[in-house]
Amino acid sequence: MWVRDDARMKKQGAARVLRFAVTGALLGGGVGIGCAGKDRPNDDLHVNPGPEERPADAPSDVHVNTAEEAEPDAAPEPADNVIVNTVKEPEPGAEEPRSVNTAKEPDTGKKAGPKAVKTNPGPQ
Amino acid sequence: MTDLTGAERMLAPASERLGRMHRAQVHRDPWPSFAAFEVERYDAGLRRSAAVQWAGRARAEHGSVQQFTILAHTLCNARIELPVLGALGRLVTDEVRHAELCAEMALACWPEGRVSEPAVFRWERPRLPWVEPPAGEEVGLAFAWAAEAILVSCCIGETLSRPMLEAIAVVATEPLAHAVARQILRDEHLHATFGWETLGLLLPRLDDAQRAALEQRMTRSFGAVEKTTACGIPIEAVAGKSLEIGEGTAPNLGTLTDEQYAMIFFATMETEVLPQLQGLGLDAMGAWQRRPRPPAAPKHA
Repeated sequence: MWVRDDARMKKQGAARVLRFAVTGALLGGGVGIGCAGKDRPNDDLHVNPGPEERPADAPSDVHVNTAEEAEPDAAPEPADNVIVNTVKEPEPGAEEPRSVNTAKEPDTGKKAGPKAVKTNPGPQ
Repeated sequence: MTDLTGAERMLAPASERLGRMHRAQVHRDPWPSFAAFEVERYDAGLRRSAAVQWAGRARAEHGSVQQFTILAHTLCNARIELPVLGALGRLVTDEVRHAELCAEMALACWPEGRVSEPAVFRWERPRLPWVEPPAGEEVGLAFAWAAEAILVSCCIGETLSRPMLEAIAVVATEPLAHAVARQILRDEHLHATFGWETLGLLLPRLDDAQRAALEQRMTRSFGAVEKTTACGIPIEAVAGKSLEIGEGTAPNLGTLTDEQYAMIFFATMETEVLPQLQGLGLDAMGAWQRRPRPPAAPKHA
């Protein structure tokens, strides 16, 4: 548990003290489970398995924003895992016309024109 | 631009009007005076170590901008209720603000490092901690994907960030580091709350198979976050122990020890993250027990 130790804070004036305690409730677990061969999770910041070894749904490093940062000598892992937006660029001719937010909304009972566009406060 | 470090590029001006819009949106609290940092008061090694941590935090916060914008994009396409998008929009600007604060702090701590070791201030494209959102129009798939993203980024990540920032604010002897940590901390409770509330909203919309897949991925995520956050200290080394974190006598620019990170991680998982996930009906304890862990280090005779 972690608590702001108000009693101790009073004793020490303005100094604040946080107390963290770990019981044995989380002990155990599969040591080494899933850490060998093709089943190993690809979350290791210092090992860089190729994409072909990475399960499609493996999480990368789950990062807490205030987690300790590795020294810069530790080579940053390339973005091998998952995810970047590798969407395919559409052919220019296939691209949808951009809507204007304030364009006129067509009457839903009528056939829309070449492209239905909409403006947020536009007439309905 | 090519001579600028990544942190400097983060902070580079755009245009005057964009700067005004940005400041109005992002500089909500009185902005710390980074120019007031007295470099000569601290040893260069201490300042470098702090810069490594603050620069890393800037990158991580920028990564959160990436995560939350992709999440917003996906939930928008899935036509989730607007209050979710409104709350999520706040998180995005918060993370921009945090990235800026951390980058400023890193550069203030170790200005000479921009030239001597620019890698400290690098700025790579962030990597998502989950797979890409599903393509297509299937709303159920989008919600299932979003549930995992929120579980990882908010319910685990943001819930852990809060006590860590609290600790950083407590140990920091430098007022500027303290002020930066406090500014970020003020937002973190909202981020965690967003996660818990939205996960609770999404879970009933998942079918049994999606829920089972979420629990399986939660198992992997537990192992991943333990690896990046507990500094290699296994739970066996800290179970049954308690640790008090307060302001020390030595100068501190906002850094924690490995032991402090590990204790905060395991204590928060035990008392906050796992119980709340259990409360949502997920088998968090089972997932924790099954999480992948690195093989035990060989014992020396």
